[in-house]
Parts: sequence; C-alpha cells; structure tokens
Amino acid sequence: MEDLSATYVKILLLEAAIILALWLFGRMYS
Amino acid sequence: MHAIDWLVIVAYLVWIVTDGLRRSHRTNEVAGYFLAGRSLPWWAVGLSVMATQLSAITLVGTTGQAYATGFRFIQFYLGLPLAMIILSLTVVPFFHRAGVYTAYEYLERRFDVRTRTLASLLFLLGRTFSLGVVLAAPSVVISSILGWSVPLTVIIIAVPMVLYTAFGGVQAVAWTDVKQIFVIVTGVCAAVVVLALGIPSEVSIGRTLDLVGATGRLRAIDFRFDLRETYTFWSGLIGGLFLMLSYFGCDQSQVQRYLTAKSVEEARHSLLLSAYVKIPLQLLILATGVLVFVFYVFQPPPMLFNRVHDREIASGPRAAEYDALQRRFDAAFAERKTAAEAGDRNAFLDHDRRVAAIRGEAVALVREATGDRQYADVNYVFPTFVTTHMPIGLTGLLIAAMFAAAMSAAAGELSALASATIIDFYRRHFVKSATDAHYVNVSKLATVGWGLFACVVAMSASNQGSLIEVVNRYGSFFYGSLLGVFMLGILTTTATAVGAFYGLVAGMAVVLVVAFTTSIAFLWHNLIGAVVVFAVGMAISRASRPHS
Repeated sequence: MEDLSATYVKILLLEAAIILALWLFGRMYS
Repeated sequence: MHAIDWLVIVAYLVWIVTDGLRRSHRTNEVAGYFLAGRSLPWWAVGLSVMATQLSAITLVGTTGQAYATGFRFIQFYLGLPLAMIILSLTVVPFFHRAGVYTAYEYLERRFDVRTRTLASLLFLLGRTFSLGVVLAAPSVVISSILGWSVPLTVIIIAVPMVLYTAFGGVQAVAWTDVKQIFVIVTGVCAAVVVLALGIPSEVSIGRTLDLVGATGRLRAIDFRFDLRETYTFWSGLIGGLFLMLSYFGCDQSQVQRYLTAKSVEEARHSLLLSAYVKIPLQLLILATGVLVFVFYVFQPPPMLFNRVHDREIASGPRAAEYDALQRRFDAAFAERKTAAEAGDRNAFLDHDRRVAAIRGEAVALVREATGDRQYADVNYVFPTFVTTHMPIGLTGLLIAAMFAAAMSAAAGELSALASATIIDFYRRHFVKSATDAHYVNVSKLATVGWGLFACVVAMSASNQGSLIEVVNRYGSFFYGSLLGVFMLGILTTTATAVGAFYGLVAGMAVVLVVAFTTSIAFLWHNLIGAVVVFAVGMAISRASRPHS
C-alpha cells in the first residue's frame, strides 16, 4: 500500500494553520 | 425572475439528466449499477463524496447561520480531516479488498447475519427519513422564493434526480455530482463577488472587519469545554471526529462512493481530497453568509426574509402590529447604517442589537400567526438575497446551485438505499440466486420506490417542523452506535457475534436515553454511542465465549 505519511502530515499542518489563523483573526477583530 | 434565469435553470435540469445517463456504462450488471464496475478516478469519487455531503440544507442553512452567528459553525468540521486520514488507513483498504457491495455485508462475514441485518435496517430507517428532509428543507425555501407550491417543488427536484439515479445507477450519480459541485462552487463564488462589490467603496476592509468582529461573527474558534454548547473546538474535534468516522466509514451513502474507485489507492486519495478541501469550502460558504450580513448593513434588508410570510402578515389581522414593527425596524436600520459609515463601533453594536431584536419580534409574530414553532427566517436570507440582488443570469445559476445541492445529496442517499435494500435484504434473504438483469431491474424499482417514499415524507415533513427535529436527533444517535459495531469487528479479534449484536442494541438504547433526557449536545452522542457499543460488546463477548 502506498505510503501517504507525507500527505497526512500536510493535511494536519494545513488544518492546524487554519485553526490558528481563525483563532487569531477572531481575537484580532473582537 | 428574468426569462434568462429560468432558461439557466431549465438548461441545468436537462443537462444534468441527459449527461448523467450518457455517462453510464455496464448498468445491466449489478457491479456496474452499484459500484460503477470499480472504474472511477479518484478525483471524480472525491468530488462525488463532497457533493453528497453538501446538501441544499448546507448551502441555504449554513449561509443563514453565518448571517446570524458568523463563523462558529466551522467547528463542526474540525474532526473531518483526521477522520479521513484514519479511514484511508483502515476501512477504505479493508472494504475495497473485501469486495463488498455494502458496508454491512462485512458485518455478516465478521459476526453474523443478524448483526448485518440490524445495522442495514438502522441505515435504511435513518436514511429514508433523512432523504425526505434533504428534499423537504430546500423545497420549502425554494417554493417560497419562486412562488411554487411545496409539493410541486419536491417533484421538480425529485423527478430528474430519481430518473438519472434509477436508470444510470451510481455512475450517473457520481458524474452528475462532479458537475453539481462545480455549479455550486461557481455560484457561491459569483455571490461572493457581487456581495463584495455591494459594500460602499468608502468603507475600508479594515473598518468592515472591525464592525463584523464587534458583533462576534468572526469568533470562529471557541476553546471552552462545555458539553451543553453545540459547537466548540472540543465538540467539533472529538464529537465531530466520531461523527465523521461513522458517516464516512459506516454509512452506505458514503462507503458506496469510494467502493466505485478504480483501486484502493484511488479510493484513499478520494477521501483525502475532502480532508484538504472540505474546511476551506465550508469557510467559503460561511464567508458568504457573513458577507450577506455586511451587505445588509449598508443596503436596506427586509424585516422578514421570507417574503410570503411578510406579505401574509402585512395584509392579515395583525397588520397594524406588523406595520409598527416595520417602522421601528426601518429607523433602527438607518441608525445602524449611519453608525457603520461613521465607524462608531459602540453605536453600531447598540443599533445592531435593536435590529436583531425587532427581527426576533417579527419572527415570533410569524410563529404565532402560522403556528409553525420551528420557523427559522435565517433560512431565507441567502435565497432572498439571490433573487433580489444578483444580476440576471447569475440568479438562475444560484437557484440551479440550490437544485444541484439538493439533488446531489439526495441522489447519493437514494442509490445507497437501493443498494442496501437489494444486497442486504432482497438478495440475502429472499431471492438468493437470480441473474444480474433481474437484480438490476429490481434495483431500479427499489430506487423509484424509495424516491416516491421520500417525496411523500418530504411533503409531510414540510408542514411539521418537529418531525425534522426528530429526524436530526435520530441521525445523531444511530451513527455512533454503527461506528461502535464496526470498531468491534475491525479493531478486535475477540469480539463475538452475540457481543456485537447486543452491544449495538445497548449503544442505541443509551444514546436514546442521553438524547432525550440530558442537555448534552448532539455531537457528543456519536462518541457515547461508539464507546457504549464497544464496551458492552467486548464485555458480552468475554462473558459469552466458551471457556477452554
């Protein structure tokens, strides 16, 4: 089975970045 | 609406049916009809998975929700990327290699026919009513904005959808899903552009963000751990993870999608597409709702977005009361607009609360006058914006996008209902060895039958808001339990058939009690169901295993 570890890491990093950005954005403008 | 908009809608409906049927091959075989002969590329399967999940309720309800409360709803999807990774490592290769037609077939191989039948029955019961709601909810909204009756709208959505699903099988569903997701995304992007252009040029982006932020609409992430709060970071990440694992791992409407992929690798990539794209897509839809709010800060909004109720009440016995509300609303809007243009944050907030409170009074008036206690005016925000402010042609595109969202979600469920009915019941219990042609013919009949039943549910559900609530609650309690029984099968080697069956029954019972006697938010029901089924199933398996 193809090793997709790098893809999984990219997905998790993207999600973490989105959550962080949304949290910071919310704090900045509230 | 302009004739060009009608032309766009009619062209879309004709195109979707004819192209769906044209792309269907080998639909005279069961494998071709239900699994597309395992021939679809990963991107088509991935887009189909996303289209099936993106219903018109999502398009219309989510924009309305974002209009009212902002980005908070995004937390519902936080568990999705992790769920997709877990599934691409576990059940996707598992189901694909097992060569099954339905997820529940596996339960018979691992446990017994009783567990398979119960799980499939739960799916059928849940999905039948859910399909009715998936048709009813947009029909109520679309009928109101287009001036059609609800039954006629249900029929206009259902007939083309049943046609291409019944005759083209899962291939027609998947290929129409691909087109539908493009129609939806193009339509939403067009709406975003029109909304952005509608904000006065003298109001800067910084001031706009400051105003929206003041109302709390930009506060997307809530780290508080409160079990009663529906959408928090924790409920989305943990409860949502279990919901998504269950939905994408045990629900035939999703499992059937990735069983159509060419190979295990293509199936895994198809799910990972959602892991990448789902949250950004959902953010785009939520941003549309927030932009509609900003748009109506500067452009006069209707007090009630449902124009039918607006006209009925304005000319009914409570017209004087409604007229007084309308005058107060107009004054509050004018003062809010002035405060927004002046950049006076505190005054803007005060007047925004007044606008919201007056709208609340108007909605309460509708509920009293119509007896519809579930009436939610926010569901009409986006469709009303579309029909009153989008340019000619784009209005038609957006209405077509609403049809597309309703049809893509419903078609996926319809095809899955037919496959579970024929594979798990008809072929397993009644006619065990007939020709492929026979099974395909009864599958077509099952598709049409479930389609008709869903139409009847949709037409009655549209008049009973409480029924919709019951259906939603039902969905959230059976998903976790189904996940629990699959966990018993896949994660352990010691679970027995007796343990799995009674574990499933116990999980359902516990979640039912929790759902109706506590205020624990529904996302947590998925976690509770999965844990109870797994724990009870393991305990019974241990107790029932013969001692050596």
